[in-house]
Amino acid sequence: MSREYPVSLVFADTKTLLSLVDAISSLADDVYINISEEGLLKIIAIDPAKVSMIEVEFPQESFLEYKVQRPLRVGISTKNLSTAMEDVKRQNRVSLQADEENIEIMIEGIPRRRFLFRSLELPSEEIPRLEIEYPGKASVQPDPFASALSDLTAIANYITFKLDPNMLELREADTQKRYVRLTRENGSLLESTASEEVSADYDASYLSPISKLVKISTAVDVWLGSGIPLKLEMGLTPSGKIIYYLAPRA
Amino acid sequence: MEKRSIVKIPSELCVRCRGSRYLCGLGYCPILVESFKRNIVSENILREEIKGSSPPTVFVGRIGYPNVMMYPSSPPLYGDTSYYERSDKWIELSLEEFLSLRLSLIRGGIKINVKKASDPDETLMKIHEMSISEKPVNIYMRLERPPRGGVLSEEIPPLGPWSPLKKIFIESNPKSNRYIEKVYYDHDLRSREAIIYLYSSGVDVNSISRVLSVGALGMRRNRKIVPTRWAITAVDSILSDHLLRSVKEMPVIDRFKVFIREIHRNLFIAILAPTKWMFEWGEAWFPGSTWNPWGSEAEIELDYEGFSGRDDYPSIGGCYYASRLAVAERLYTWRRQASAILWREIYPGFNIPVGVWFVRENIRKMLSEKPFETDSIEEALDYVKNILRVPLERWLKRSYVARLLLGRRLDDYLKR
Repeated sequence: MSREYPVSLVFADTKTLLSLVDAISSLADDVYINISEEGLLKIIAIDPAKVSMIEVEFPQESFLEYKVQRPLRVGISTKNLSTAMEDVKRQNRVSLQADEENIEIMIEGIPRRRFLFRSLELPSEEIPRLEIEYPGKASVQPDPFASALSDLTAIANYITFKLDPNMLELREADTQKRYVRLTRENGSLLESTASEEVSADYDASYLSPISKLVKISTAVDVWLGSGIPLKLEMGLTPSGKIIYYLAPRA
Repeated sequence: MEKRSIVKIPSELCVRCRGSRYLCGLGYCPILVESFKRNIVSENILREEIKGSSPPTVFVGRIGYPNVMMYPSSPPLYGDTSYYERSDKWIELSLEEFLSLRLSLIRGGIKINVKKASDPDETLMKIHEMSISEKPVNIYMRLERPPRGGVLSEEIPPLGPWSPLKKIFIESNPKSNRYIEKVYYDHDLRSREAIIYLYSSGVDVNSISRVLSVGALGMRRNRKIVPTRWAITAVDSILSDHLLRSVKEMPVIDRFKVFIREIHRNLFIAILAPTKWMFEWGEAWFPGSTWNPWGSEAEIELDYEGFSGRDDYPSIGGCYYASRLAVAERLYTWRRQASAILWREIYPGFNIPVGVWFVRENIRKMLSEKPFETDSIEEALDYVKNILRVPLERWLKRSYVARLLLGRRLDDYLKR
């Protein structure tokens, strides 16, 4: 007998969902999903050491079907999420149904698969809400930024981000020898609001899963300040966004 | 016959030291090892017939898998030889005593396909019979030639000389351990469940890995002989996973706890931190130690896992799981979870591999002692800074857990 769920959603873009699950699984153990009646699904995941946090917003347009009878907050372990998304193809339709206790993920492919998970107990402490004043923001082309991230995270333990009015530089922090520059001249830097140079070091292992998300995004904004968390805002097709925060090196 | 030594030690040093001050820089005295060993395995004992009380000990090699060598072993003496297999007792011995003990275990080798365990022949039945015994078993081995060689390995405890086995006879009535006997005759019980059942019943991990290794566990048709080194790691891994499943749901410890143990030119350090489960095992091998004989500086190798554990095999090897089991056991006893930083420094002179038991037992022992307690990771690291010989900065550069504990977290930027 099938259950009646107050929330029933069908994702429009399976490819984005796959990349997202892949990235989140390598960072966090659990994800929390807020589903509003007004047509916004928000995913929040924070890693166990609270060094990084990822927020994803999918508006109603990101779904083929968005039926929400009442707002809901559920939690699921990333291990379960990865299990459900294993072997999912881009052309498969992924739907999510949930109530306060259960989350059901349905994969419409061959064969058709249905996964039922108990919702995780939501943390008593609030997920951190970050409101930071950033001295600089750079808008960059997603492709060269994704390549810079994947190249440097493959060789570096830490990456120095440096932003000035004309350039965003990513440099291997320990030896300072290898770097990638995104500049206005080469077209990879679209805009920089930094009035003076700002820089900070970030852990490469927390950036490497993000490069795949950058690659599928339509636009990327990099928010930076000396010694404060990095903020990456990535636009998604057809709509929606991913915001990623990463604490700086001590 | 010419006797050769792999280490050249000036004779005048030995004369001055006489096995008491380790002037040669080694962690044990090679002359004492040789003489202890000779007391047990004298030249005239190394013949084609071996009689003795097997602790019981059976070693399975991994070369040629799935056709492997299996060696029932015994020292050439009768009596209570159970301490030959008791790793909890080995840490109370000097390295000389331990090495001479283990190197006097004489092995009779047979070549066998691992699948033979599902349909054992007469010889394998006898090996099973002795393996499931909880007391030493008197055996008589007829060998093809006088035994020679020996085993020194990072994963398994040392073993003495061997020769192909012609025939094995069991001369006493083995007294089966009732728990092992139960799982041995249960042909519908999976190995994993059998391992957990045996551990919960109080059977020590050495005995569990021995019975797994000889192919005495698992569903009847799937029973396989498992090379000893794989069996040891499998048991450490399965049991630590089993304990951690509960530990991860327990409350976190209240303060940072620092444990230190120095033994046989090895330094073990554990820092348990009041956060959810994370774990790292790091080893710094100094030049002149077992795995860094030619280096010019200490080489650090480290592996780790976050709260969800790991899916792949740690590059650092079996020590990772041996240490993880020791920590999981301690946390389980406390009914608490924590993140664990475990570092080991291996100094010049400790130049023989002795097996992962050395790590497991020393960490068990270390964690049973009284720790230094503090409220901050900075103070915990400050405490170990002067005890470590590798600069703390080098350790921190490789560390995963310490780096996470030290690093800035997003909490620091929370909206107040």
